[in-house]
Amino acid sequence: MSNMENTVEESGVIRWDPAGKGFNPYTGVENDFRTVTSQIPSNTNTRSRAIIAESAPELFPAVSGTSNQNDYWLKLAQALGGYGAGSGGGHSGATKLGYAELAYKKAKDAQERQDALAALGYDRAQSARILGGMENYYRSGEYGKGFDELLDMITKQGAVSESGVRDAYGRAMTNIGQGYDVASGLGTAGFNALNQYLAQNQNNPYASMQATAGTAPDALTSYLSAYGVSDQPVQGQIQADQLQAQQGAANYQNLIDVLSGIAQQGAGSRGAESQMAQLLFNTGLGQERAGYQGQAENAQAQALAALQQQLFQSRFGVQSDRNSLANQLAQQIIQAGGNLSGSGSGSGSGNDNDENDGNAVVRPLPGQLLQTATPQEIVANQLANLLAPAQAQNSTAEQLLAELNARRGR
Amino acid sequence: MAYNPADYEARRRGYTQQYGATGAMNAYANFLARQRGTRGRQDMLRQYEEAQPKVVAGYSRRGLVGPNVKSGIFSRGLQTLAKQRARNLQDYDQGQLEEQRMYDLGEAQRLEAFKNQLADMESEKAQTIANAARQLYANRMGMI
Repeated sequence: MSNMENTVEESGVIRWDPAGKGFNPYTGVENDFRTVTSQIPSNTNTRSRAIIAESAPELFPAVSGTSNQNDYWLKLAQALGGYGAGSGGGHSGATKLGYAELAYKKAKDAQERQDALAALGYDRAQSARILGGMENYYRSGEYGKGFDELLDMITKQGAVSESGVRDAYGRAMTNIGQGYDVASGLGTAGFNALNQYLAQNQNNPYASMQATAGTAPDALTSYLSAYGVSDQPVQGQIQADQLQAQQGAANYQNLIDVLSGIAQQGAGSRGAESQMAQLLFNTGLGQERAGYQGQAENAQAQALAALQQQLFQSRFGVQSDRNSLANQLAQQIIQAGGNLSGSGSGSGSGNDNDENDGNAVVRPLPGQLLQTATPQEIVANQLANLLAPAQAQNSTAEQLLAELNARRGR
Repeated sequence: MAYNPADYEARRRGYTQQYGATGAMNAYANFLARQRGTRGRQDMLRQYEEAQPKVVAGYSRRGLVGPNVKSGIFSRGLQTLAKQRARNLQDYDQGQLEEQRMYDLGEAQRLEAFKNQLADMESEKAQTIANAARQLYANRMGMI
């Protein structure tokens, strides 16, 4: 027997007094704990697994996915259990100390497990609330409200812009028409003034001219009669000279008439020139107005086309963002095990009764997916299947554990 | 080319002033010519009035005319005098008349040229106004 006492160091190393070793009547050999040196696991999960292993060793592999070959707590619990069961009423001091320590650790681990389960339940409840909120947010289409407002703003702005473009076109056409009227009025006023001037100032100074032969001189008839001399020879000469003078006057009149005719032709030509110039002015001005109107129409068409292009791009952008957000929400809901359709997991709803409309759909069984399911939906379905029993009973891991304990009579 | 009414009014005043000044000068020259013509005709008549008694006296001294005497030579001489007087007066008056015709024709041509100047200017002004109107229209359309 050794004088060494059982101690529990702060480091968690349990040292057993060799005196504490005893004969195990069930194994037929002496228990030797001197070589048992175990690191007390600080990990809560490890402790939880140890407790579960102690309570229901046969279920431990199902609860914990990790191997328990190196789980010293499990070995220790099994060893203690075997020792205690076979010791009967004769416990040594070391054994009592070990049981006391084990009981303490069990209680502590149970408390920690309870806290962990409570935290897990809280997290799950919070996750469920979040998931529910996301599902509601997705199904109700609330997530698209902002996009709808954006689309409405785009539509209204488009209407305003289109109205602005059409107003600008209207103003342009009005200005074109007013400018044409002003220009036409000004040019017409100029030509009217010209025509009025030409009408009031006929340029034919020869019209009033008359060629005269002049007066014939007297033949000294009285003087010749006083001396009894006839004036006939004088009168004959005067008439001959007068005839010659009249012929000269006629030639002069012909000259005047020619000049007058030329002047009249000039006046007529000038009037025709004025009319032609006015016609050319009106025609040119009309062509310019047509050109300006064409430019305005083209500008309006281009502006409307550009506006439509911008509106389409804006709508496309908003709709793309909406689709992206919808996809993100759907993926998050699916990854969290939620349901996108709102009909429940396999329960179906009246809205999905596609048989009524003649389109028979091959529905999968509960927990199954359509053949067209995406990889994300497949993963989500697997997660949902894992959680379905617990969710169906609204149970938690703690309740599951309690159920297991109850099954074992604890 | 921009339309400036002052330019046309200045040109109109220039044309009118030139036409008026030239016309006044020509009218004064015509007046002087007619005055000269009148004086020359009066001189011619006076000379014939003074020459007539001398011609009769010459035939009288030669005894070709007198109381109960009337020769054919005197009659032909007196008729020749009357015909010469009539021919000279006719030629003189015709000369004056033709000179007046030339003046009138010149004035008519000058008036025609003056009116053509004004009409051309008015046509140019109307065309300038039309061009200015089109330019104004183009400027207004350029501001849209």
